[in-house]
Order: sequence, then structure tokens, then C-alpha cells
Amino acid sequence: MSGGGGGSIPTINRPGGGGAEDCGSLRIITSVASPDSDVLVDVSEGDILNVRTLSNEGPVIIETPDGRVVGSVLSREMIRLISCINNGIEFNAVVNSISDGRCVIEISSE
Amino acid sequence: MKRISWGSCETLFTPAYWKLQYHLDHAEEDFSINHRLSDCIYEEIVGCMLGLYEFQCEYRTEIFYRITHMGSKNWFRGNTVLNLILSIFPKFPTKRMQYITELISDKDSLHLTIDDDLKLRSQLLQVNGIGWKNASWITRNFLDSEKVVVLDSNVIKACFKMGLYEGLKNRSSDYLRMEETFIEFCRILDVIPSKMCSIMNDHVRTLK
Repeated sequence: MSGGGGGSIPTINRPGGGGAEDCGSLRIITSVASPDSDVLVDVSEGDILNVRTLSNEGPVIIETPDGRVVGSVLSREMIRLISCINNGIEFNAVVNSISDGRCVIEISSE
Repeated sequence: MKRISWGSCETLFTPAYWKLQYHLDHAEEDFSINHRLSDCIYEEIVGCMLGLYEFQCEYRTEIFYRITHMGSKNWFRGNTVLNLILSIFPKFPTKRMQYITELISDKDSLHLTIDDDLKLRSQLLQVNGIGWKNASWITRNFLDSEKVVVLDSNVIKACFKMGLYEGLKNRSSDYLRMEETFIEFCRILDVIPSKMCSIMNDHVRTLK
């Protein structure tokens, strides 16, 4: 019998973008990794934090507007985020919630 | 295997990064892929020669669909496939066309073994137009093999970046050593080689 692939074309690449054109739609909801508790006490729900990379290969860090490091980003979408930042797109992170030392943020280019 | 630095999972393309990304991928989706194009090995080879592993464009898919629905006894005859290809895409690359012609005329002498991964790949290397990467690709897809690895340029780049391929030159001269090292790397990380390949390819491509 032919056509065992079920009519679909398999590929080793998973679907998903990553091009500059996808940066506008990139939205990452994640917990801040390795949060600094001394900085976190000054962060509140609704705050807007800075997102930047320390090099063009990461890490991605989350900072308060006065430049104190809250923590970093570990996400499946980290590669797209770094790619977009390397292409000059600016991102920020809105604090969705903080509880028990866990800070959930939403990263987007808006 | 050469000792390399584990690195930080926050920094791109370190071993720690790949282990984390593999874990995140698995946590979010089943990630099972049906690699095989066809249940006929010769159709699988033609699919590769048509470029279906690399390009998902409409005319290549149409050609392949029509070939698989002819039945292998029919498409092996004379110029059936070539006429079909030209009727759908007159500007189909001449070189690829030549490889398909040779495959059809030589197929009876190939005696492909489809129950032994490494033997099959070795036999595929005798087919004109198929090098290490494509022979591995066909084998991996057709037999769902984890004994061979599809080392494309993105995966190789990631491995050089980690220092895994230090001392090695390129795919054509060092494929087997690269593959062996990659499989060992995956064993140490406790990950499945084909899935790790897929993630590496995807991530390196995204950063380009």
C-alpha cells in the first residue's frame, strides 16, 4: 500500500515562526526564573518591567525601571524572544501576579 | 566523548539549554511525528528526491500524491514518472530528474534491506543523488530509526557551538563520527536523538 504518511508531509521541523514578522504577536506568560527576593518586595501587580538580553545569546533578564534585576526568563519561546530582541524589537513585561515569591509576568512588544 | 561545559540553561545553545528546551517541549506536547511518506521504500526515496523533506510546496506534493496513487508497478514503467513530473512542473530541476530516472532504471539491482537501519542507509548511499544526510533522512523516516541521525547544517552548527565537534571538519568527511558523538550526547542527556535534532534545527533556524 502506498501513501502510509496519511497524506501529510512529515518534517523534522516543528511548525512555528521565529521570523521578525512574528515578533508583534509574540506573547509569553511565565514566572520570573531565579527571582531576587530583595528586588521582588518592591514589585507590584500591574507594574511594567524592562526586558533585555545581556548578550545576543541571552540570558533574558527582567529589570525594574530603575535597573534592578528581578530575575530571568526560561521559556520554550525564549529563542523567539531573543531573536526578536536581536532584531531591534523592544519588549516589556507586565506583572500579572505575585505570591509566595512567585512572580508571573506577561511579556509582549506592546 | 569529548568533555564539554554544561553551561547555563539561560544561555542559548549550551547543553543545559538543550536539555531544558527538550524538557519544555515534552511538557507541552506529545511530539510524536509520523516521519514516513510512504510504505514503499522506493516511493520514500522518490519523495526525498522530489525535495519533499525540505520543501512543502504544492507541486511537489501533487507529484508525490499522483505517484503514490499509481501503485509502484505502474510508476516503475518507462517514463511514467518523468512525464508526470513534467506535466505538473515543466521546470523541475534537471539534476533531480536525472536522479529519479537512474533510481527507476537501477532499482532492481539495489536490493534494499528494510529491516536493518544501518544496512539500509549504507545501501542508500550507493544511489546516485543520495549523500549521508539524505540516506539518513530516508532511513530515519522509513524505519523510524534512532540509530541514524539527520545531521543538517543547523544541527551541526549547534554541535560545533557546544564544542561537541571540535577537531571534526564537515559532514562529508566526518558524518559517522558526528553521528556517533551526537547519539552519545543524547544518551547522556537522556533524550531521543530525532527529537533533539528537531528542536536544535528549529531553534538554530529561528535565530538566523
